[in-house]
Amino acid sequence: MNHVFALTRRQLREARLSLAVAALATSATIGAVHAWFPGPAAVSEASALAISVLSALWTLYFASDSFAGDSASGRLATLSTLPISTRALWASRLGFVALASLAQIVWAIAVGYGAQFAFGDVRSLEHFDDALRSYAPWAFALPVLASAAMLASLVVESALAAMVGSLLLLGGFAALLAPLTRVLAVAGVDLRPSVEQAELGAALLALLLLALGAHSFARGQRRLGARRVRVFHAAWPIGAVLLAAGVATAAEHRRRLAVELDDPQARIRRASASSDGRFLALEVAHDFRGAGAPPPNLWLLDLDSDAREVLARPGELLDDRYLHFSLPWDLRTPLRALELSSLSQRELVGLLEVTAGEATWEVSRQPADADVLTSWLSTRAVPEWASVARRREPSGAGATIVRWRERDFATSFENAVPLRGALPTSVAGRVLVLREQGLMHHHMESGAETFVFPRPSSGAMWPSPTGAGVLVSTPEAHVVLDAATGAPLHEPWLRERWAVSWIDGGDAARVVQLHPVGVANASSRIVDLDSGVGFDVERAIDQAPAHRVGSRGYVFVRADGDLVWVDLQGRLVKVLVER
Amino acid sequence: MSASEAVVVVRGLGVRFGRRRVLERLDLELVRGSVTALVGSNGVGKSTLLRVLVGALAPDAGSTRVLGLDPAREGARVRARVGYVPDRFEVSERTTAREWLEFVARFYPTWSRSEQQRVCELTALDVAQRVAELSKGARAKLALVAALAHEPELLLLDEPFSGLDVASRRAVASAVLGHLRDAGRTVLLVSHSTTDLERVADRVALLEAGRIVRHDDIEAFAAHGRRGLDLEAALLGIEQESCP
Repeated sequence: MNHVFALTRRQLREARLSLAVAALATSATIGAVHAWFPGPAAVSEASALAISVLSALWTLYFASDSFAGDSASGRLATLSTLPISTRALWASRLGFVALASLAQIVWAIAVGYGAQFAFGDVRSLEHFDDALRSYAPWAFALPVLASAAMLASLVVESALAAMVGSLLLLGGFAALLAPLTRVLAVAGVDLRPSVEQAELGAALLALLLLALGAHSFARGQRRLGARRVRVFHAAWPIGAVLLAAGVATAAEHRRRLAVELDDPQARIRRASASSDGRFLALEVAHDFRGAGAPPPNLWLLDLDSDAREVLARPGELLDDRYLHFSLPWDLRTPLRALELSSLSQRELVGLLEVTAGEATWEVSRQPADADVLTSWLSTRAVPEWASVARRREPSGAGATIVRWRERDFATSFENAVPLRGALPTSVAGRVLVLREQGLMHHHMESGAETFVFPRPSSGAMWPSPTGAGVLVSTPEAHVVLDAATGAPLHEPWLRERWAVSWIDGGDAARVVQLHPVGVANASSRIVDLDSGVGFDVERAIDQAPAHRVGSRGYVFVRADGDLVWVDLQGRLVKVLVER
Repeated sequence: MSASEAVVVVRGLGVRFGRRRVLERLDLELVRGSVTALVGSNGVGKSTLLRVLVGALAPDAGSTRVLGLDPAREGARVRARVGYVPDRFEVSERTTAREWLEFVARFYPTWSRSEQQRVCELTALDVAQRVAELSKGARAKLALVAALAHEPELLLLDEPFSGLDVASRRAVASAVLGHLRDAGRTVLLVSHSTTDLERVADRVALLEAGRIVRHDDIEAFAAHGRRGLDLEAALLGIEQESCP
């Protein structure tokens, strides 16, 4: 220990000029802030910022100069010929960096407070105190900075190069952290730490870098003068750790990215059936909990032959631009889907078109193109006589515009789905519109409006996939109305007993699913309001609702997890995927 | 010569830098009280061998014992008992010679103020001067004082006279090394000056192609010369013989 003290004391003595210059520079900077910044608040803020930045700068400098200068001049080699252990030499340099940095920080804070006492008042002192405390949580970055700079100082031969090198090293870590956060989010790991976790992480990183530095230094001392030995022993553990972490993360990411249909953990999020119901596209995702929802895989399934194929991994189905239901597809109208980046669901990498043939499907791919994607957005909820647009009024309010024969009908509506406020019906020029007094039919020819139904308690109507019906809810009940006539299609379902949602897919114009409220493991009821047929199904409630597959019936995930196909009367036709 | 008398025992030593083999299967023994001159052409590995002996360089092969210790594992303990003057001696320019010696003294339990004083007088070193003010020769003297003042059992000197003028070399070599020989210390000395070697050494080890190709009494070496007892001519003749 005496050797460590002697070496540390000597290094402090040799660096006394640098220490004095740093202290003077700090004093001059804080003095300049007091002289030039206008107002006590600005002075306090700038002084606190200057103290923080200078503390980091001096820590970086003294750590960067811990080995580099002596190594280049040969002084380190001379010291190494004395009876000093490698451990003592390393510890003394560490001690020097800690003492020199601490001395500069204490000095900077003392000068900051001294200047406040000399030139400020009670309020500016309080302001300075608050501002300085706001930077305190960043103090945990100083050991990381120091350890990275010490490591860099071992592998280069100038303090400036070590400063740049350590910043590049830490920048590299930060740059890696961004994609790592995204990758781990996909894998269900939230990498956004709390302040305490960040402090712990920084302390661990600093210790790891110091350990790596000690290892590199010790190996280098065994081949004195061979700097590349230190470089090699500093670089390979970093490289190995990054490589191993990268490979492990990539492998885990790849494992989690692949979602198999027969995986019991897989959750079917959405479906889209071909017009004849033979082919079914499924959006399937792992049901992982975590920061980011895992991106889904797209699967294609042939109901007749049981053939299946991964369409995109990951990918998403492109749905109705207004109502977000699926769009039927066939030989003339392809299914459209998005191929996403494996790292981010928001990053589009390709566009897919799937055409349903008589016996199989055909897939074509093209690069991501915003214009093509825009041209692909379509809807089947707007009849041919009308077009719908959204507009921002001068007042800032959102408006839905229905256009017919050069006539515009505008109505204010803030909902993200415009058709929930104004729905063109199958009768040309007639729009079902939400007013304060209730649902009204607006006649664009005459401008007249007729009452249809009291205003829904939810403040919106829920059009069916084709727009032929609307689901509205009063405080007591749910009811489906014919959009064109406004007539109820059934006796109301009491809200206290039933939750109601539309069934999507194929030619399901007005099919609903009723699920009992507050009853665990209860059967859901599927009701076709056009044919009047209804039946009960044992459906897994954490999966997507049943999907209509044209005249063939419905597909849904049964309570036991199997993906099954039932006919229009609810009789089992086939278990499509056992899980 | 028994192993117990040997201060340095090196067997099958190998050192390489990258692909370049500097020392290969080198064997050497130094007996207590001998002053051995290590000679050989430039870049042959003389300084490398000395660095191995003080534990500043871990060998790639072979075994090394210095004063019964393994320098690669117990470098600090070896250096505490060995005086080493490296080929490059760098100290902070702002420090004085006295400050440096006071600093170095803390690491040697056997440091002797009187010995320090004695060697300083022998070398005529002005310890009040800053290192920046010291000539190359004076720096060499400072390194020599630092290596001798703790009364080491073994001295490893790598070009200790480089930078000294003729008069200083003669005085230092005769006085210092003569004093060491009289005190029965073991010395391994690297120098290109055969005059210096003839003045102080009693044995010569010739290093060629990574090995000690001859290790003999200085008289036996000198007798190899065509002109009688002439070490320079003898070494020149041996080097020419060993070159293809």
